[in-house]
Amino acid sequence: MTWRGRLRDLILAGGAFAATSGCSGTPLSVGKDAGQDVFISGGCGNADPDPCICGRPEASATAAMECQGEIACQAQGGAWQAYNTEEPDGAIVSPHCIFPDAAVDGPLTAGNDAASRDGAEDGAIAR
Amino acid sequence: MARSLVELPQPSLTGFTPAQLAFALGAWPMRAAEELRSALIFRALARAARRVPALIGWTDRFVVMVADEVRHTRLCATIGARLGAPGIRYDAAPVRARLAELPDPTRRAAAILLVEAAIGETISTMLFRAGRRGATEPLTRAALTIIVTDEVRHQRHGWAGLRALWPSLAEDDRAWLQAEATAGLGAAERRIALPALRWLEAGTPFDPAHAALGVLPPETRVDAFYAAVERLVIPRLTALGLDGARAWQDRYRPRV
Repeated sequence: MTWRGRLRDLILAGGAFAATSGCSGTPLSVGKDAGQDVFISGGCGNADPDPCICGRPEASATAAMECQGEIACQAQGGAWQAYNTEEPDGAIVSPHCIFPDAAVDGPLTAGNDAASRDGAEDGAIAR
Repeated sequence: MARSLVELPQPSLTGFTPAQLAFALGAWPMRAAEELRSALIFRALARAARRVPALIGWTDRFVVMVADEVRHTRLCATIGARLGAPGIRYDAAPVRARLAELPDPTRRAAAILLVEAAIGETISTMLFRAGRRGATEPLTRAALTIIVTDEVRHQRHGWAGLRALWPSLAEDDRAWLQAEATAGLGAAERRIALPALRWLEAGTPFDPAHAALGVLPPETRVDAFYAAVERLVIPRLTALGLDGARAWQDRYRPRV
């Protein structure tokens, strides 16, 4: 199958808008040659505003909060508007959730992201 | 036995531009960080396995996997430094998040064996093999050869460990593992294939010099990933007793 067919299948399966690792305890070490990070660093840039990718949740508390909002939004059937938008009166609307019935909800409050849970890691490892 | 760092060939960077080097060499610190995260996750596997009767005889193999990953970390960090790459930036938060969702030792061992060892290392093997085939820079090629040799063994331990554990698992544990496999496949596709697919969709050219330095061209990355999933992972999941085809089909279905 061509790469276009792969991309089409991925989108049809729902993968283009699924939540990604970095925001919750999704599996690690899956294909870890790290080349994907090269592509991410080459392809992320400003082109993809998804707050859940490119290590953004780990790098920024704001991104972590927005990532939680995105996941919660998608879990409720909404679509995450990742860009700041400007209202006719000039007010800036931060990233928010758009539901099919056009109701809008903002990001969740910070402090409940999975990465901050305790009881996980068994201490540092000698290097 | 892997070669020591002093036995590795000298780098040969003649003919590469600074921009080419900067792009390709940036992968080494990332690889080192990934290997260290793998060491932590496999250490959690080794510790959990000690508390699972069906895996008592397996802990030594898991401990060796930890040692391999720590060695890979040193290898990647050292090579990155020799080639002029920036230092490692390591974040353990994903490891903590993953383990926090696996408090039960049997499920923790089963999940890590399935997703990170069996599925993950199978995909890694295919990616590293493809990267090694394209790598002509001698130090890069030597390092990828060392790593891929260990990855082959790790995925073998993953599948074999799962087969050893499977008879002792209750039906609800097996159903839960089916969901783990499903989520793991979706996460893998998004993490590995999607960035390359987006690269291709954008029509961004790929400099062949990057392949010589160990970076997979996006088409090759896509082909290696799907070959690993379709030819190896899905059939092995099915042979184990899971429904591999359904796991792949449902990979983005919300987990219930």
